[in-house]
Amino acid sequence: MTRPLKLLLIADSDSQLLACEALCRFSTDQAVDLTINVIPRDGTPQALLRRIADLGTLWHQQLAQLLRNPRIVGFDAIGVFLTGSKLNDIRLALDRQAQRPVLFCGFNGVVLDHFVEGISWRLGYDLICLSGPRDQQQLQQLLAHTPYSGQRTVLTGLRRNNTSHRELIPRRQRPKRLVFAEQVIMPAKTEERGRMVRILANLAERSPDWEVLIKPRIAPGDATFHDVDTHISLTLRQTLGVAPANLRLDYRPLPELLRQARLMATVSSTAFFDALDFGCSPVVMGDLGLNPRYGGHIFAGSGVWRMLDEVSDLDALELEQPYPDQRWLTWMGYSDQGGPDALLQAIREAPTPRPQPPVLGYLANAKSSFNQLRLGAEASIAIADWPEARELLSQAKQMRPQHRGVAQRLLAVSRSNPLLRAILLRVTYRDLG
Amino acid sequence: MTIVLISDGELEQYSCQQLASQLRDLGRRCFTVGPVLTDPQPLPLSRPDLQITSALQLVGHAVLGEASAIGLFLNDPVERQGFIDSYRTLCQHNHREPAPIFSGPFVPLMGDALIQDLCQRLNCDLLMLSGPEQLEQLQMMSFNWPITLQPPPAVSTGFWFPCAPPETEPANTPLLLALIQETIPTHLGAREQLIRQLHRWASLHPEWTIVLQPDHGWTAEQPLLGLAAKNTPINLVEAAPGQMLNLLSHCTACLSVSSPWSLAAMAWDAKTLMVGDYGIQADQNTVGWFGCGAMHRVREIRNLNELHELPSVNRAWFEGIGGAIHDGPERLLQALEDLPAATGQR
Repeated sequence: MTRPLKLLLIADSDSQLLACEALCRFSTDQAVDLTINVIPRDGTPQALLRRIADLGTLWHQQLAQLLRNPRIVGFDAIGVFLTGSKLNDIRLALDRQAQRPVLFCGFNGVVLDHFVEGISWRLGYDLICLSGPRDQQQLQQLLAHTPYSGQRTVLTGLRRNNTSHRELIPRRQRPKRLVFAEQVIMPAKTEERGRMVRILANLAERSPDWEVLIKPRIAPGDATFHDVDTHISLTLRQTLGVAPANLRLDYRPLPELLRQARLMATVSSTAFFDALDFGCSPVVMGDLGLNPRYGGHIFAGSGVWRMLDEVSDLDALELEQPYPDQRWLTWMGYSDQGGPDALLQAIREAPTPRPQPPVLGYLANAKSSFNQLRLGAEASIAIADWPEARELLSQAKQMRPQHRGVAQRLLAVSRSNPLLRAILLRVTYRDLG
Repeated sequence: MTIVLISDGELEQYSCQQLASQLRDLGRRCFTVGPVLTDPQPLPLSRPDLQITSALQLVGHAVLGEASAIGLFLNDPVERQGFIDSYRTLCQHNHREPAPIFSGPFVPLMGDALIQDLCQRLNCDLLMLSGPEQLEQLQMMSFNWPITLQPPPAVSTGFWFPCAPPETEPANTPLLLALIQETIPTHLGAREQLIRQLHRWASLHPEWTIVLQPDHGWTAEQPLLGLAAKNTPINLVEAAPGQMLNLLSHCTACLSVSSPWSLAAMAWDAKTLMVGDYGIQADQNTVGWFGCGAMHRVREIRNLNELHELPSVNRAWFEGIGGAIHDGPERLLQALEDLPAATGQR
């Protein structure tokens, strides 16, 4: 019997925790010893934290603390689900070790935009998890004929829910209910969000036998990856005043709602694929057009792109028996190809991790974040590596010449007199968190 | 019949003049339309054949009645849409077949910028893109789209500047051409910081000439060197208007963060340095330069003479975005001929 793989997953915001949760659907015959470090952050939904705690050992360490933790190199692999610059911090910190675990990272659900930037932050990881052939094709096109063309990837797919433990109710026996999966910034403009709500309200009015439930992405006061100005509950009141009796917000967990609904609608949420897991028919609200900022260009090929404003009523829509195009589903990553077990296999087969030397002329995003440069400089100051600290602060100054903190810190590390340098370093010290 | 080319910005006007000249060489009648640009320009622009202040002025104009095709190269997508809608409505009203409209970004876009741009040009009859990479992105973007959303046909026509540089004598002492962009780098004071670096290099290397070349129209009241002008070394100068192509054709090295004109330096065999200090970021327009093989950090250049030793540009990348296409106008004409009858109705 093989030894269990010791895995550490690191995440902070709710989207990233959801990505981790989806990844942890390993087959029961896979021996995995799982630890999840949730970087403390205000407003992370408690229900999600409880679910994450059920998956394995839970840590709550800040990034700097975690990177100093000697136990971190005892894992076989570390999966990092953080924003770009933090992804880099971890890789660079662990690359300084003589031996380090296999490092992998991924994206949160369907990648709608910023793919090039996203990949550029992730280069140098031993494995990048991608959803499906669509992402893989994009990555290959980007990296072909560059020194990064050997970047290893693994398809982990878009099947995010394990539904085997509870039988699904046949669709016709479910209540006549459509769940709309709201996204916090898609659409982003107030007028467009108002229009979206109005379309749903009109559809509800045209379908009195149906219930239309809007599932808010977050509860009021909860935090998510994006900054949110107006909660959907306010948009609803501002747009409709009083909503039709059969249209309401529902804060129950999405899986619960999808299990008991016949139809699901969204602009471009990854919940589209969750609906399929729970036997609910998804449709894409195409009314906002092919706007790439909202992922319209990706979901237009789904085969269930509909103008909800033009649908006579939900009975008519259900009668169409909308089901996504199989070719598109496979291309996106909703198929039997890959999955979490494929990640474990790829980790086991990964060559001994080693830092990749930079290639002249081919910069990616490593060491290009202002915060990262500052943190790196502080790390160098801590070990009295003055030339490196000067380099990093010079680059940060190049990036933001008018930042006083960086200018003062650079002045301090540039002093050759040890006493003067120590005084200036003390005076200019700021806790960067 | 005439091909009418409508443009607004300086790069678009220059490109349309280039294209018109090449199409005329191929025996086609061509007519350029656009505003007169009054600010000092980096390019040697001639006046368009017909001067207008807004494309909508053109909609009922006789010149469109004779058009066999319309090249629409306006920057503002709303203005483009307004023109297309008004033109087609008027044609319908007059029971006249509208001429096919072709359009595209002259510069090779990548990533989100390309997707955004493509989505805003889907209502034209032919997309004009730079290289095979852009065509592939279009194909990927429209994967499995329903018939009602199908994008128009597309053709790749290469770059917007001539394949061969203007004939000039090579510089007998090294020349660094720094392409200064209007809003990039975006960080407060970063552009000035870059200019200060060039100032330092000029002081350290009197054998080099460094020319600051805005890649956009500029106003004479705002010199790039600003307050630093008083103690500027003699070998650091601002370019005179209309000289960018000549300077690009005989510079030893060309530096910029993400100016599209760096592609001309690459095509014309100058050493090229793309400033990589700001990372691969959409707001710095550096996404499209990922993989170019010419991206370096300024602090890595200790000595200007190191520029002579910079590695060559990644040819596969360069050719993928259009660098291997030398018959763009012929391809365009062929693509227009291949359009099915009764296009212009999208």
